[in-house]
Amino acid sequence: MKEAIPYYDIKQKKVENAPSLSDQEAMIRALDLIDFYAAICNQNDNLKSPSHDHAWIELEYKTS
Amino acid sequence: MISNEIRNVLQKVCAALNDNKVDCILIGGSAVAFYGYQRPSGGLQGNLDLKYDVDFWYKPSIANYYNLLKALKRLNVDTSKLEELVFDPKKTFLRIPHDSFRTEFLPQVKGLDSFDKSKVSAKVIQLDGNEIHIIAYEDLIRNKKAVDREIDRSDIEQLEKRNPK
Repeated sequence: MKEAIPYYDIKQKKVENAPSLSDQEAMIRALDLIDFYAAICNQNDNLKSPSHDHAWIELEYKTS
Repeated sequence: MISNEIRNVLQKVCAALNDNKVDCILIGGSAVAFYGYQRPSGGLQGNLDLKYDVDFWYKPSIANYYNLLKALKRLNVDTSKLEELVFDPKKTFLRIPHDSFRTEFLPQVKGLDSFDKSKVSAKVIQLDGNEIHIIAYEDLIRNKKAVDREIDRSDIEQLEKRNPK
């Protein structure tokens, strides 16, 4: 059994111990965490720096 | 909250990818979050201009690229500009905008040289009826070591605490 490790619970906005999650639960939690991760990325220049040194081909949705 | 939007879009994207037999692996921040890294930090309020990326590594073969184009067309993405380009496994990095985030498709990933090997070791989960391959923890660490920004080193340290060997 993995040792419980403190983590930040985004919904309760407090530090909790890491629960034992199934893969699916972990993925759902990961999606919940994206707000949190994105907010940190936005505030941290280090994270904003690109992790790839290539150009992107920007696509759009069809409008009609 | 953008997570509901991401989950809804991800459901449609994954369905289109699976239906068109696109070989791909979920990588990046979503995988970091999947493996449990959450940074305790304050002062997150107030910044609504978020652009988070959901990243997929796609197998850089011509056949898979055309499967990806089929999937994108099904998602109503305008692929006309791609039809003027020749697929380049080192340059064809694709980005699709959504309201609050972007989906990105990468033909290569730093630190990992074999898509097929990484696909075999990827974790397979079911989410909202779709099968998703998530980069293996060990490959995620390899990728972070190769990218090697300060934040990647921090990610590695924190992920290793949460995923002891």
